[in-house]
Amino acid sequence: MRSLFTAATGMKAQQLRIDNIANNLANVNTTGFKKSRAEFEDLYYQKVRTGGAETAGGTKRNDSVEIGHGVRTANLTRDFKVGGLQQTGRETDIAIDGQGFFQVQSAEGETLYTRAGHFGLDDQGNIVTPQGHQLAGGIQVPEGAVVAVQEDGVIVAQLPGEADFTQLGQIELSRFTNPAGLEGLGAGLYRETQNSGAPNTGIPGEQGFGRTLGGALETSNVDVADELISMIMAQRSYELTSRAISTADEMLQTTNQLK
Amino acid sequence: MGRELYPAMSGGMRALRSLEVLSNNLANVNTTGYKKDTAVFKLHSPEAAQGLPEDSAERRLAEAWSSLDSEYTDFTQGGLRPTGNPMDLALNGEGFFAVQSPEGEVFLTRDGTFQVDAEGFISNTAGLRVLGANSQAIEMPDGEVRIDDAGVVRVNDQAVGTIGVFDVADRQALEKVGGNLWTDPDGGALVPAGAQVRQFQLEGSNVDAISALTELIAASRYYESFKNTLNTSGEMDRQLNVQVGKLDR
Repeated sequence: MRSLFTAATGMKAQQLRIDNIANNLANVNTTGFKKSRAEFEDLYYQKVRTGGAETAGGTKRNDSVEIGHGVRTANLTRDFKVGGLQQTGRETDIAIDGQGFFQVQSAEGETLYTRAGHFGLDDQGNIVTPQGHQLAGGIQVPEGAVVAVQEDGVIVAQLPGEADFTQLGQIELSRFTNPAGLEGLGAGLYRETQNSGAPNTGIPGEQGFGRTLGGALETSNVDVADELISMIMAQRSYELTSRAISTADEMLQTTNQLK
Repeated sequence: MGRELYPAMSGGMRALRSLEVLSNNLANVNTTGYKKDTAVFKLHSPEAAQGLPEDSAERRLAEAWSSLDSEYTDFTQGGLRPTGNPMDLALNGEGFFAVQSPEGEVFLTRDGTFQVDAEGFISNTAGLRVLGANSQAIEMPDGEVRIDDAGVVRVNDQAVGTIGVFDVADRQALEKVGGNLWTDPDGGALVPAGAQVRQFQLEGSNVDAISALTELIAASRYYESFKNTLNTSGEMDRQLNVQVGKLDR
């Protein structure tokens, strides 16, 4: 009874969709979080009969029969739509208003990418993420300095006892041809893959890169209403597919009662 | 048991086949661009019914025997839903997107979940490149993407290509190969089609819950009546064994 398994693939697909919605909803307040969407595609078809039988008139008929085997998840596509901006007033918080990623260096020296700009300082004055990954550019903030980030990524500091700001360095942003191909590592970090393409680096505010805004953070791009609607649809589809299973079950029962 | 069993059996088989096709439709109730299938049955041998007297039991039996003939795909439009993603495209009207595998094989699809791949070409989620109206892949520069109803792709207001919308001479000859793709086994020529391209939207599955559930219930009931026919026939045979040979009592 192939129908049982076919319908089960539908239920599994909806279950995965719910799992994904749950993850999106759980991250509704995560800085720089990008929601994902489950994409489905139909599974392979079994060719029960090849078409092309000849009719009495000598023409070929479309009498091929292919029976489908259900559905599978094609992709969980991350949607890099820019989230909202939230003013925090904290001087080392940086939001990107537009396209681009911050480059950060892991402890192993690997370059990773993030849009979660809740940076802080480490004991040497380096600008770091909460996980301790260092913002690329080698900018060091002197002790006691007041830091400000300009829209073009330039970081300036006012040293204690001085009236003027001195320039410490400039942040560059990276962009990918196919950001959906980036590998998500959690904690808002992404790794370059073959699928994403190599990063293009540029100055904030130029050539389509977003501006860097100090004292602000990018909020999650999850829309709660959208997620709730998807959840209702997934639940109803789950119920619907389960009806196919119970019908197949009833018919099997009928078969067993044949005498 | 008499020959009345065989038409009943063909009805039972028919219910089972219908259920298989229905289950696949239901599993794909949320698959982008999915088009539902219907199993089509035919009289097994219409020739056998010819020449038999109208309204005779023999003729009815000959006509009642049916078998699986083909599969009909219903290409009616699915609902469009907004997604807000600039590379999500839906077709409104008749036609298909064409995508090409690295080996050069062309498939048709109604699933417009596209993206720009690492080399900068428009491709689908499986990485197959989308063909433009000139049957070439479309290369995308960086920038803001706008795609109009005619499929013209503009990046930063500069036209870079046109999304191809194609059709084939006989859609029922198309075969589903999974992955939301169709292939044309005859390899017929693609002709331009008239569907509008809608950016920021995707086309939902055209499986509708009400007819799917009704057909499920129908399949189940057909199957029960097959069982009842079988049981009745068995009962008649039993009666025959018990009663024939008994003389007047």
